[in-house]
Amino acid sequence: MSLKSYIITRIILAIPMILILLIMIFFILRIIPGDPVLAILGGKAPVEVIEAKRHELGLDKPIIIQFFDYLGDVLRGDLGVSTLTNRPVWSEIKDRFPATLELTIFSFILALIIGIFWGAEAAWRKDKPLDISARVYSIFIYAVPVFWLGLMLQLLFGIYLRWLPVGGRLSPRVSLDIKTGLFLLDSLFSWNWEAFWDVLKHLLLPGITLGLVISSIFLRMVRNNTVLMLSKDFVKAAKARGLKPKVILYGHAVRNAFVPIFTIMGMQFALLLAGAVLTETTFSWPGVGSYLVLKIKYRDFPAIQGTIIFFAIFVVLISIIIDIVNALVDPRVRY
Amino acid sequence: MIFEAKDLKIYYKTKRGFVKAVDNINLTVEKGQTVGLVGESGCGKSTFGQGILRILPPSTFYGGSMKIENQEILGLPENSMRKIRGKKIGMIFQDPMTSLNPVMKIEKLFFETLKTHEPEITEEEARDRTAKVLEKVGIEPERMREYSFQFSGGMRQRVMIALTLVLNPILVIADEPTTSLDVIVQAQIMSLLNELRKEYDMSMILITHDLGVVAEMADKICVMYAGHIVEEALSEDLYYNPKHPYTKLLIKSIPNTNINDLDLKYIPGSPPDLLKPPIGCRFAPRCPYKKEICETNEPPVVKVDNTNVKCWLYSGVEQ
Repeated sequence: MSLKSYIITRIILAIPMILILLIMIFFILRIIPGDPVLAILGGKAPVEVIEAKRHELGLDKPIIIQFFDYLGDVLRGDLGVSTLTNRPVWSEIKDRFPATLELTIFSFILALIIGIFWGAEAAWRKDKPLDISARVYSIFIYAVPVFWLGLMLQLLFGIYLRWLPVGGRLSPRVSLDIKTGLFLLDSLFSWNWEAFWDVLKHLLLPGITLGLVISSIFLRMVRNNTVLMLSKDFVKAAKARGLKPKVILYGHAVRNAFVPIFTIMGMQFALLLAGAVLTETTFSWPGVGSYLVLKIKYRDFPAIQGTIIFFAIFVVLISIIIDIVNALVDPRVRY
Repeated sequence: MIFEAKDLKIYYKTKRGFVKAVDNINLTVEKGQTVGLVGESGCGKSTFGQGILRILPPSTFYGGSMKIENQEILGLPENSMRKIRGKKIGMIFQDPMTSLNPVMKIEKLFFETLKTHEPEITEEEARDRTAKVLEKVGIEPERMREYSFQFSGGMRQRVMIALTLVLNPILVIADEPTTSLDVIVQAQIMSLLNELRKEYDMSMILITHDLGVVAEMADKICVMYAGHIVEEALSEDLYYNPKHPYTKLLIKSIPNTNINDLDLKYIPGSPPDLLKPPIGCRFAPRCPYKKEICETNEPPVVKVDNTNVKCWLYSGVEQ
């Protein structure tokens, strides 16, 4: 099978998955306690007003009819209108997505750097202090809740030391032309150093929080797989040819260690998004994650459903991209 | 003299003490010579091979002396040792299926090896030399752009040989180079190795447990048992006139095709634990000719005819 037909198959297989997810989220939302109408109008509104709103939102129709109405809309590419803001869900997600993307990319790069270098050097010095500290670090960070880590960093760097802001993406006094929505790039392309510095300062705490959390799993994977690869015959053969330790470690062991890492990275990416939801809420980061939490609080059904579908499609796309990269890293991979 | 090991000791450090995998070994390799190193699994022959290049785990203890072209290499720091690995002493490994990095193209393996030892080499020159050496081992040079998993086992071992020859080392250690290959490919690889050894004017240490293989190739054979060399002799002498009881039993245990003699012969017992080897002769517990002294004193090496043998049986006929 060629790569092209593999990708097409993957996309086709994703359709029933997303459909099942949609059915589940749709019905679970309507089973759990909480009423969107009451959430909007408050408990003290007159009965007629509540009924009128319920009719306006279409929530008085039988639940099956509601579902097929919604499904029809989704298939036409319409995610509906937020019951809280009356704005189209899609445009709300689109506005907030760059913030999430910027946060996740920053965190991911940070996690990659920590994971690859610390993991590789720890594997090279197995059972030495650097390796033991890597193992303690990854267990500790993995066990710590994301929001707690975020709160502690806020407390230290935001409250006591006052070095960094504790929330938001940009100070109100700083102006910035928004083109891509990725503020770091926007400020960089417009040579707006003041804004770049401000954006970076805002990004640092949430980025480090999420980055550390992902790095713990990543560091462990890199370290363990590299230890395994260093025991392989081809590493011994490379040593016997007189190659330098750096070449053996990074060119042979780490590179091969990435083959199994890539195959599980697709799954790790879903974890990254879950972490992003908590991090964004802790740092009031205006991304899709904090959007989802807000909408859950107000039982904004279309917005919650829309966000979940969006996340699902995003995860599927990322895992397809990872599969393609995997084929490039490991020439043995055939589809 | 190309290579000389004197009273060489290689001990592995474990939680229960030192494993004396190689204990007081003396071995010399002359220019152009092929020395066979024979022994059963766990006798220390592979440890010896890898110990020459010092690519054993860092906690390994080395003692005695080891010289390549009269240069002492045991005390050499890592970065000087790296210049010897591959360049002066090449190594061919047992399993070609796992000794070549599966995610790297063959040419990349050659280029990085050449670049390491000859930093000023150009890409073109490296490609040229790779093509030439691949041709020598019978692989079309165009295939250097392929990955090792696209080659068969025998072809991979040819690649491995080429990868060792490309730096033109003076000594090649072949550690069971054909053990994982089928019999026909074994023969091809062995004769290729023999031809190329002559052509490149190298010396070779051939490590194997196959007496048949070593008989055709080696000028001199050393028989190893439990970390000691128990007998050192020219190939014919060893075959037709073995001295040490272990060698005798080993040669008897080679399966033959005689219809009247279908029993598979073997040496009863098993090799000793190298954490606590016997005080006297290490073969004594299994030896049918055992005397009292064998269990209490380590035998000396004595010269009988042209053979060096480490056994009490000959201590009376010392010349």
